[in-house]
Amino acid sequence: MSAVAVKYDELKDLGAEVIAVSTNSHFSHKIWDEVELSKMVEGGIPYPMVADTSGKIGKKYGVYDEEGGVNVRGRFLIDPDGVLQAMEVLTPPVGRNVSELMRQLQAFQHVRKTGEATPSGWKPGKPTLKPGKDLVGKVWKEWQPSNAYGE
Amino acid sequence: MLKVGEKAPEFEGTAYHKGNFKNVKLSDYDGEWRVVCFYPGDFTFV
Repeated sequence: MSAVAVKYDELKDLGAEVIAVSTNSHFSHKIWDEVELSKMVEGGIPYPMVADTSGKIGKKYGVYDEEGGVNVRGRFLIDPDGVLQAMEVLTPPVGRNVSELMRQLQAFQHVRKTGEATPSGWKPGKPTLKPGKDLVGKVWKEWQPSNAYGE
Repeated sequence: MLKVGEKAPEFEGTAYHKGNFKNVKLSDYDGEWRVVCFYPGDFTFV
């Protein structure tokens, strides 16, 4: 969660708010922030950390693990209308890639603004596709798989 | 079953936020992009 915290200002600049959720109490969140996270992130965790002690929220999002009594690592990207646009769920030992989250956020924002589509590996500045009858069967003229990689 | 392209489920709970405790709802942030991150627990390592 500290990796998300250090990118918080960039996420805020993109107009996104972060909400963290675990089955720990809000008291536990406070102590974790005070004794550990604030030593990794200047000023401590900048976003709200919600207590989901019953797992009720995790169950709604399909990330609650009954056996362990915890929420597994899930990340949900929700647009300004409250529509879920993307989700990623990992088992606990592997951490997330915050850079990929930022890339997806920028891609969904671009799509929302322009109505264009962003092909695989798109980043701001890379070519987009304009879906329509003229593009059918002609994607090869506009885009190559190598566009998915590199800068 | 949760699906992309559909409304994200509303939730609410008590949160710790910058030194204070407060009630937080997903809909408090309507009109903004939101990233909801679940994690297995405080004091875990990754």
